[in-house]
Amino acid sequence: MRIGRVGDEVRIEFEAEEAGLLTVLAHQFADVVRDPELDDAPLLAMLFPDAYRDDSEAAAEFHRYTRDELEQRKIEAAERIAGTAHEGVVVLDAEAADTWIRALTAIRMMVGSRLGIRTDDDEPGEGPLADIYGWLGELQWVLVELLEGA
Amino acid sequence: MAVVAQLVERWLVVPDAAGSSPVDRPSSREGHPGSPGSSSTASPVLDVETTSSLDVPWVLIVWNDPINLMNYVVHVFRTYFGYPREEAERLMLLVHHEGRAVVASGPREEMERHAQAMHDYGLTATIAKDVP
Repeated sequence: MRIGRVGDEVRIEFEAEEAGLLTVLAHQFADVVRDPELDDAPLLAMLFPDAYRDDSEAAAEFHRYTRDELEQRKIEAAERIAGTAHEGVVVLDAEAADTWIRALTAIRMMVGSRLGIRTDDDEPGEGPLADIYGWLGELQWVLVELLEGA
Repeated sequence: MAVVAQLVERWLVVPDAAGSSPVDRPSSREGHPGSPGSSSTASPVLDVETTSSLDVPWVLIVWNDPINLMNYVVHVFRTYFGYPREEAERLMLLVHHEGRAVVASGPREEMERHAQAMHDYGLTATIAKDVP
């Protein structure tokens, strides 16, 4: 993968397997949000945190009013990645790049949660999933750097 | 927050583009004591903003989490709240080191809108009454 900025656009050159990995993860994320299982609870708590820590009633009401829209936007952002990542040069305008970094946070939460990362002291460890987590972090980091360099 | 220490520079090559410049790395990490909307001790007269924030004592708190990247949090604070880079970095470091930071204050409804926006970005944000 190579990545850089040309004018207002970010260009990422993906290998086939990199684009494929991103697409698979984005679809997995959308599926988890649409149809979570019991052990996805820690992930859902990160994706949709309580807005009130000392008032469970207010927290529940906030969830009632915001959850559907938040779910929808996170799914749409992930599907945006799935719809645009492909082998070769992917061109993102500023709006698309912003959607990508938002979706990458959500996808990294899914992967990080599977790796058991709950606090700053937890390490991703070693293995394919940890490598993927590191790769996603680098991709998001560089994308943000390019956007901030505007 | 997570810190990406790997050699990300190896990616910073612009594909198929001539005449582009390399990415600027943020060089300044120093905190900035002044902040927009914070109460100033310089003036003895309460301005409108200060008065209204006394009337509606709600705050938005952003909490540290192990997933979000430091530069992403700065980016969110900058683009969503419009904070200058120095202030956005100061608040991010507060979240990172202290575990949380108050990033906005005002009417409850406005803080709830901000909280929803933060959750949309993937940041952990809560609302609370501003207890002095």
